[in-house]
Amino acid sequence: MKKENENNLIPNRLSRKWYLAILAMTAASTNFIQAEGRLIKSSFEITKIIQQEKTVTGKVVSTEDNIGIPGVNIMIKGTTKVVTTDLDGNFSIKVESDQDILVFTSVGLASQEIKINGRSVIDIVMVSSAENLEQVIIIGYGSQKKADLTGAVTTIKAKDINGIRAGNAAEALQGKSGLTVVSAGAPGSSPTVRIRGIGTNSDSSPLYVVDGMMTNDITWLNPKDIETMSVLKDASATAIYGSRGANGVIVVTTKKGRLGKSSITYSGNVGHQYVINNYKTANGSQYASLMNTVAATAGQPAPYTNPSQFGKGTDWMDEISRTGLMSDHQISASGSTETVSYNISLGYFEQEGVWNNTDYNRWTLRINNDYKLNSKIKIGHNFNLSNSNTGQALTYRTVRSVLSGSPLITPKNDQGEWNPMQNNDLINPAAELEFNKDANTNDLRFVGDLWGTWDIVPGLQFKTSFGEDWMLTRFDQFLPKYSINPSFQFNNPSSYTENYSTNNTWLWTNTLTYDKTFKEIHRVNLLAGQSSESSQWRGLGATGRNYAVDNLDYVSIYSASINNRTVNAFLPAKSSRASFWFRTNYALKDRYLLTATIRADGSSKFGPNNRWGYFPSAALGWRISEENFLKHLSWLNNLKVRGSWGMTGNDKIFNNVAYSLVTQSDEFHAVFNNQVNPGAGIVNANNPNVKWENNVQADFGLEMSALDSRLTFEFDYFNRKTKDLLMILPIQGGSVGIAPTYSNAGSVQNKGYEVMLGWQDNKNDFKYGISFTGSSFKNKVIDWNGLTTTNTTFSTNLQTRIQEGKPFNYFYGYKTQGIYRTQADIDSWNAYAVSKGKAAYHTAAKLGDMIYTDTNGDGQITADDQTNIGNPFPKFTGSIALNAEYMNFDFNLDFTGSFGANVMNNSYNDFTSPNNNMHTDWLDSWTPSNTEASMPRLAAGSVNTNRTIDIMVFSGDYVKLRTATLGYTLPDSIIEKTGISRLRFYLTGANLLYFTKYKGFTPELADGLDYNSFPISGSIQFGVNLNF
Amino acid sequence: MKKLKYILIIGGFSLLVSCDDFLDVTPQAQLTTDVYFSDEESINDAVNRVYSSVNWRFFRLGTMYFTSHEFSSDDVKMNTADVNFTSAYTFTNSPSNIYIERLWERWYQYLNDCNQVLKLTSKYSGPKATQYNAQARYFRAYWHFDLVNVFGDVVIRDHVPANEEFNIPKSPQEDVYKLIISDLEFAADNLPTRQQWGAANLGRVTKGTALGLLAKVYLYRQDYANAYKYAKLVIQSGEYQLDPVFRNLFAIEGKYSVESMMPGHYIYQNIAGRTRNPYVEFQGIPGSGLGSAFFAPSDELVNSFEANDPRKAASIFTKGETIEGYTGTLNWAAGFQYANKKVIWPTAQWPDTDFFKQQLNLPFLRYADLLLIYAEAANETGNSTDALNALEQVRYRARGNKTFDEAGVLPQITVTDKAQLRLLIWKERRVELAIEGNRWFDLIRYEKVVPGYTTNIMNNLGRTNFSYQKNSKFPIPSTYITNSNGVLTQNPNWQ
Repeated sequence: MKKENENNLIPNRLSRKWYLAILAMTAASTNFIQAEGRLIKSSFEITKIIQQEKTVTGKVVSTEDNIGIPGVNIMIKGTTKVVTTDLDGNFSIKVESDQDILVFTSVGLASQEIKINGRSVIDIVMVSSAENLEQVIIIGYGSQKKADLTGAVTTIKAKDINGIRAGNAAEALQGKSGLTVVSAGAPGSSPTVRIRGIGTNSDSSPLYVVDGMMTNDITWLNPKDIETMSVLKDASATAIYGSRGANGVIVVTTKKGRLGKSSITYSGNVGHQYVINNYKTANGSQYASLMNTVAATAGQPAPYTNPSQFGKGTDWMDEISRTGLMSDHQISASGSTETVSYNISLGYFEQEGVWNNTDYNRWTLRINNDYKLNSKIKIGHNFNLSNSNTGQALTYRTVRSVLSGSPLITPKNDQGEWNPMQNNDLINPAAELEFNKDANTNDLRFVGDLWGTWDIVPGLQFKTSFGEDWMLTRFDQFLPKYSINPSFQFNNPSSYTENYSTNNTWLWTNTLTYDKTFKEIHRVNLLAGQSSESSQWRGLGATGRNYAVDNLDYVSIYSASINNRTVNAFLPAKSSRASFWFRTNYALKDRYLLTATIRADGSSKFGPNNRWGYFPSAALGWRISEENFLKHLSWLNNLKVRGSWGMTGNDKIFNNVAYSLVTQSDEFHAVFNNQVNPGAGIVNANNPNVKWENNVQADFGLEMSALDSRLTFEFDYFNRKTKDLLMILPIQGGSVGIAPTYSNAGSVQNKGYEVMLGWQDNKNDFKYGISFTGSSFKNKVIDWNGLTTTNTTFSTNLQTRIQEGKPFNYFYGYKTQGIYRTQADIDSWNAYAVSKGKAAYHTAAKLGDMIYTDTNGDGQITADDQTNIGNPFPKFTGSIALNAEYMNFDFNLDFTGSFGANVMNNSYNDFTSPNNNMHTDWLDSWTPSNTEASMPRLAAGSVNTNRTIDIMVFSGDYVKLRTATLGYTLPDSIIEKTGISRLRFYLTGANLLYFTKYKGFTPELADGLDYNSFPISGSIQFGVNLNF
Repeated sequence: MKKLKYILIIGGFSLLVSCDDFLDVTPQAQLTTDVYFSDEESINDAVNRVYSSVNWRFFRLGTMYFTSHEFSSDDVKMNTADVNFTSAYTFTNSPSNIYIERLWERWYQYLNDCNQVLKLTSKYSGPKATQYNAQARYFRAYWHFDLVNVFGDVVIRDHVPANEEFNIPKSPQEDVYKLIISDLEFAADNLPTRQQWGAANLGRVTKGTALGLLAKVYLYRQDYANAYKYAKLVIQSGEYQLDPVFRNLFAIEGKYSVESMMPGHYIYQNIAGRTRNPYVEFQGIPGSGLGSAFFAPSDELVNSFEANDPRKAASIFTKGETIEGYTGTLNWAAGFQYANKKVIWPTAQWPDTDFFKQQLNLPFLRYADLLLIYAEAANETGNSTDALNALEQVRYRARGNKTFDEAGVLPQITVTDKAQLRLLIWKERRVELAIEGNRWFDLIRYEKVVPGYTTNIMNNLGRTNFSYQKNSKFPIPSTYITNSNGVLTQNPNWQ
């Protein structure tokens, strides 16, 4: 709660002199200058003669909490007349003309000029300026002034979110400090968000808390409904979320009704997106000569006598991709009276993926109202309904077929029938996308809560909130009968699947907050809370077959004959949680800050032995700039150091781990006298002691602002260690006969730093800012019970490993060092082998093959020579953002980059079948007549293809122009008679520039593995913001 | 006002403070052990699970069983390039052989199933529980015995382990045998006979099965007195007899033949997923598409049948023969002319006209085997009369229940010299029990009785890299060695 010294506009921590300096700075465009502690009028202004005085009244409220702001300065532009708002934010000022302009200024808030236009009541909302210590930051179960913050929190505002083009607000987090965000290419899918590295082998995405409701993603939320997003990074901030805080927490607050005039806003944009980077496969004639090379290497006759006759052939990427249209519209109304405030909005978002027949659309409806019943009791609700449709997803075989498909095959033959591909590993991708076009996942989801607050005595508030998250998912897919390749690409008979599931979660939260200042130097904020939550998931579906016609109006489960219907059953799930928490925020003399939290979480997922987990944290902050020995430094506005330590947990595991379950299976039948007798076995171990993953994090931070807060700097160092990782350990020794289950073992460390440097300044009509953020972390497996876990991706040559001392899931394969160009090369390596007492160096390798590196030095190549050939984690990610406003133009650029990560591309040496198409690099592969080639011999089954080797590992470095926006707001003089209060047009682009040396689509890949990736697209959109 | 405040706060907080009930969410739609096995009767389903190990519905069983029981022997000719198979034949085994690894995994799963029954019955003491236990302990002995034969020293599982007991070292073979013998003695004391079980329970293990396996265990240990003793108990009891028709034993209806002491349980069910019979799948006619035919009978096996032995025609399918009802052309892979006829039956018996789905079963123990165990044990203990008598019973049936004088084939054996008779009994075992999973383990024990016996056979076949010391046991799968962090050690000869 903001409470300034009543008789003094100036916050007591700033000298009057500096206060005036800032005032002058923000008022620069109003032609006031500062001199000698007084405000004087500039010389060319003429004092108007008072003709008829009129009183304008109104209220100034803050955007964060809709509470009146006391102490705001209101001046009539061009005069010296100044009034200030009272404690409730009300003001009253006598003006001379209906055309006067009121200038509202306050420390830490963006100044505003409002033309009176004949009104006698003017209510305005003031917004925090860029860097501002009074700014209120949303944290877990509450808010805190930025100055008082002891945790590491990154805040994203509505302005930054509106700029993004995707349907998911998490995209706005890319490049922000402490976050690794991989854009989602497929329409409707969520970007991969990781906060401060990866601390778990299970789901490492953060917890989203939207208006108090906890969810695992926010695809259902219209980004335009978001007011702020707070990314809670260190344990001091996340520990209040206990067992769900280990991966970081993103607290999202949606827009509420603002005190003041009702407004109707339309905001919309339309545009298109396109593939920005293609994987370069050989074209028709190149492919033909590649096949000739393969034949020559294998000692077979050339299959194509005149490769050049084939020209470009079929470009499969062209065949399956398109320019996708996208549009996004939102209309909202918001306003407030003394007792009721409201914000309602309706949104529609639509996106066509860059691959054919991949589509997404979403309707959203939001109603956020609150009602003041009396001076002590307020109730309200945040309701959101969303309805989305997601089309088909890409499969590995489809993507592989695009990249390996022969350009000599056309999608269809002369009769208009789909052609089969050149081998059975591949399917006709154009046909596949076409036949799967009738797949759709429809999510109808309600997320919302009803809440009430009761101000019991001044400073003491009770809040209760009952929330519900309900989703009905309907998946349906019709597949016609077809046969392109009778064994590998067919569907017979036609089939229609319709699956339904419901997910129902309720959450009841009760908190008691006490906020009080004692003797003017002790500020205390105490929070106690309790919540209970229960979730239930159920699903059921059916498949019908053998339809008479391929007409979707006719096709349903009902229209399949009774013998052609099967039931699709799904295992239901239910879980519940109960939590208690307590937090103390204490500030002494605004200098010495303390935050301490504890949360107790109980979860049904864990057995009675370890059902409850306790998650404490503590943080200290010291605002050194408030100390007398620094106070005289006029250029320094803020200098704070803070440190925190705490524990959080991760509970994302399967239910029922604690229970011994019975398995029944057809395989368990016994047969006596030819009669089947059902059997039941206990084949899975249970672990009644299973408990939370424990994430212990220490953080040290430094915040500074200087030069009238134009320059800001923030630095954080963190050390995050996850212990008791929930993993299924192979049962040691293995001679047990029971499938192992989860146990708490293993530990992973992420440590690193984050830095943010910003500059924001105004020069007359020109406002500009530049900010730089950078993050870096190092991931290391500390303890893996002495084991190594090798993960292979099915039917690919992607192989990763988890091993102590190495980064999580590093790439595991063979290092190479050149090519055996001549027999002499082979001989000399064999001589080396003989010198080590081995018969031969690498028996599988032939002339023209890659020379594997003998990493263990035993003189021969064996499986033991596989080693670390790449790390999926970037060493550094960062962004540079520029924004500027001049006159009515606004402009921003945001460059984001990632450096030091590796990407493993499965397609690059995928030559399972000897007629797969390949990357154009392979055109220069070794043959007896091309011994100086850049690539090795191309032959199926050789050591060069379909092995995990370093030639398929690439640098994942990239720099991209994430967003660029140019906007123009029509001047008031044009729109004033139309009733429109603001009209802005803008042009925005995403990924307009993309710099990378990576040889795939884009190196933005979760886990660094490229094998069925959906390309990240570029886009250009035109948009309008219209306010009435 | 003050009161109301407290009521509200305390009310709100305490409503769900009784969290333990709230947090007790039983697994949804999944039966927990407590619920499923809530009474003694329901434990029967866990016993059924024990028997399911011989129903061969697990599709990989063929890979494990044949690799470990047949491919190293001199009865097979390989027809596959899969090194996991061929390395067993060529004695180039690797500790990373995937099929042997699966065998280790699977056999311990079967042991776990047995121990789960014993755990579930621990709170009951009546005759029903005893009968459950007797069946579980029979199978526990059976799988431990197989493990000892394949690997030598192995990990003993005589109860469901607690977490800290998961990783334990191997036990010496002697200790494993002690457990096997005590389990079988318990089973023999408490199992009903085939007749007592009654027709509805055909397929269950019996008192005779337990005694028979006990005889075999002692034979493998060269404890001939005990082998003789237990085999004799079976013979005297009259619980089992020879099937009058040799080939009938391998037919579908031969599953519950009066000779079959431990029948397999495979029956064809059209259940989604795997429907092929793993026993049939890997056999068949090389090159014909009938069966994968990864191996075929070796020439040596075929040649070891005496002239005009009717069992040869019943056991060996020779190039040129036809299959009743089969209209396709029988192609033969180059170099092959024999197939195991025990899995080749008229097409009328092929479910879905699919050779792979034939409802045939391997008799895991049969009375003829028991008679030959008895004969061998008798001979070794100097009782050639009993030995010759038992041997003649087997040959009499082989002749079609005729004497040599009546049939004119397979002369009655009268040799009383221990060493000579021993070789004749071994020869009889080979042809009588051809490709029934006995030959390799027999060869391993023969070398102990007649030093150099097996080594000579291998040398004569040109398989000169055979080392009895090393190749008589398979290496323990390296995955398990690695995972054990040094607790589980490799067989000495494979280190």
